[in-house]
Amino acid sequence: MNQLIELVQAQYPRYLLRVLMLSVLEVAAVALLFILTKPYFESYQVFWYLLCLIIVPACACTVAVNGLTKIASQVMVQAQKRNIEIANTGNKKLATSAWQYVAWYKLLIMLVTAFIIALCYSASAQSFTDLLLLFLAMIIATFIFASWLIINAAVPLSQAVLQAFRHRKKPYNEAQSSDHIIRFHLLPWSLIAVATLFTFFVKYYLGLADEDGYVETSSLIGSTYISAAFVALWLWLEVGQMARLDHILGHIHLTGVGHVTDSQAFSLVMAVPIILVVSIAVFNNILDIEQYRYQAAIALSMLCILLAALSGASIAVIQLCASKTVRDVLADNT
Amino acid sequence: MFQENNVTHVDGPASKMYGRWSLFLGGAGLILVLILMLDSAPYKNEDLDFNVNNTVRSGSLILPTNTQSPRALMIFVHGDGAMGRSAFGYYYPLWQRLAKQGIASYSWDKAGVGGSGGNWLEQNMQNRADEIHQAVAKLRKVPHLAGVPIGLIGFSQAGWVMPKALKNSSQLSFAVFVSTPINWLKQSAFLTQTRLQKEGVTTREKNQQLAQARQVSQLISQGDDHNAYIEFLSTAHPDGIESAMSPERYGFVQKNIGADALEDLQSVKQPLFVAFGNHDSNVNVADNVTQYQQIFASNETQLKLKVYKNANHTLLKNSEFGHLSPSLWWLIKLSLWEEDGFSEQFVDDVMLWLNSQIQQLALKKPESIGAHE
Repeated sequence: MNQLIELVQAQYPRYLLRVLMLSVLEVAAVALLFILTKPYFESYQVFWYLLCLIIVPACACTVAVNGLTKIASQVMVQAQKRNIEIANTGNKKLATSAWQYVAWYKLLIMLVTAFIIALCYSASAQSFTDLLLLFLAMIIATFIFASWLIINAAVPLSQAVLQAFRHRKKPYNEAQSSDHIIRFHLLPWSLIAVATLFTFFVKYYLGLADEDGYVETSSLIGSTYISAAFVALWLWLEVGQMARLDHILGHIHLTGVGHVTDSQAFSLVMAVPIILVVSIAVFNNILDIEQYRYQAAIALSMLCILLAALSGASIAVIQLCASKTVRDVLADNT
Repeated sequence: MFQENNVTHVDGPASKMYGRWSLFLGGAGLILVLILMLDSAPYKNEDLDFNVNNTVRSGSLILPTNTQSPRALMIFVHGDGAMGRSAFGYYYPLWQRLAKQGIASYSWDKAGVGGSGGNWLEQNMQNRADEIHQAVAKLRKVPHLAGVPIGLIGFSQAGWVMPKALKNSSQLSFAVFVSTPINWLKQSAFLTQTRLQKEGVTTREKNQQLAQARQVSQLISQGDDHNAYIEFLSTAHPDGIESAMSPERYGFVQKNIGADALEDLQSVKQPLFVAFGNHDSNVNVADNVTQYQQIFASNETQLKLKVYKNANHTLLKNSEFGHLSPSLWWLIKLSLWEEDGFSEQFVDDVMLWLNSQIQQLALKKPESIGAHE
């Protein structure tokens, strides 16, 4: 056990740097999106509460899950190489999914901190410098909470993963596997994608809305297409990486999936937003809708984002299950 | 520390410390950033009280942090109701924007509200105008405010208060009127009409209720007491007893029902900015616009009048706030929207107009700015 702890702790310096880089990257991407999106460029005063309350926990959780999964994979590989033995402690609290270490009270603390950051910004002069400070505060908060989650969960998660790998019995059956995929991949990632894009749509459509709060159908279709493509691609790549560990442990096991190449999967991912916006266009044409109230536009776009997120994540999982080569190579590595 | 098989090895306690220190450092960095943000707050809020007939009016002086000496000071004049100094947060975005322009603000709790003594329901419009003069006298004693131009910004019912305060005052340099009606009775009749229209009552019922409302107004105007009013309602409109005015409110209405800003406005010499919203359901905008234009027809440069689209009585966006009655959600929404909650251009127009007034005053001789009455 001590060897395992040492192995986990040895990962920290490298992964803390990785967490920092990811925090900067994720928040900076959101910041750029908000600053560069026109119209409504000037009016960045309105949604920092919403922005902070969603972005800080969303980024912290995604960065932490990313880091934790990679630490656990790395520890599993190294423990295997160094023949580190670990007894099955039978501790049922140990979980093999990083999401299970994101407790409600931790989320609450993140939300309170995000609220304080928003409050400070609200009381500031709200100049462009303050806006940059707001995003800097969000980066730091993301880093702190992601690191906090990692430091607390890295050892139990690695232990659970190693135990599950050493004492793995039969892989999950299809029903268990589907449950696992939905609980630990489709739902959390879709929720985060939808929540993140929600802040964007609120800002964008409000800026676009006319005096009475209406948004043109063509604008809705354009923004939905770009956002859905981004989300589907993002989750295809992200979930594809995060689910590999579960695949190795046998928690993701779908039979009857043929071989799917990268280009086929990419084409599928790119087809999703097209299908979604064509559906909206047909729907608008049938009902002769020329504009939407901005709340309706947000709701419709969110629905499309949810479908795109589910599709992107599903394609990633299906590709993983279809890829026998990947599984064999990973199994050999371990 | 050394590298082997792609795994960095360090001893346990050191890496533990590394993790903890990163959290401590991150926490310290976050606090520092938040302090930096707060340090740039556009205004500081100082308590400043004054006395009116031996009762205190508790107020807040909002001083811009970007300048030692404010360029001007705006006194906020409340509309109807038991208003605290910030009008439930409605003034915050305006204070913030004014402070960014180097303009101070002053507002106080209405009599009997918050820290203020007295009872606003016992005041008439002249009493409230006198309050403004008392406030100005107090403000002139504040360092850096002795010589600055002072203006008024008032809402709704303030339309009957501000002209009284402005006329014959050399201390007040300009004023912004927001959704301010001219005649109480006309405004009251319009309000009743709008309410009945919203309720969708039949024409007959509408005429009946309008006639009753006129009778109530007459009753109040001729000085009948609250008992007579209740008696009238119980015979003419028994269903209306529940929503009848309290004796205090009745007394307030009786004191002010004859309010008409026409004469006072004719005596006002200061430049005015008058703003209305095209979705105002409290004030007959078309009628009041015509009246303002007629009053200032001989000196058009004195009046700038604008009717904002998609704006309600509060000049907030009607599409976002029009369907909301004052409630907790209204407050939360307003605090989230802040300045963006106001109709497009309204705040910008007010600031541009104020800046031009301040510049014009600065070009004149310093003694014309004020400091004598």
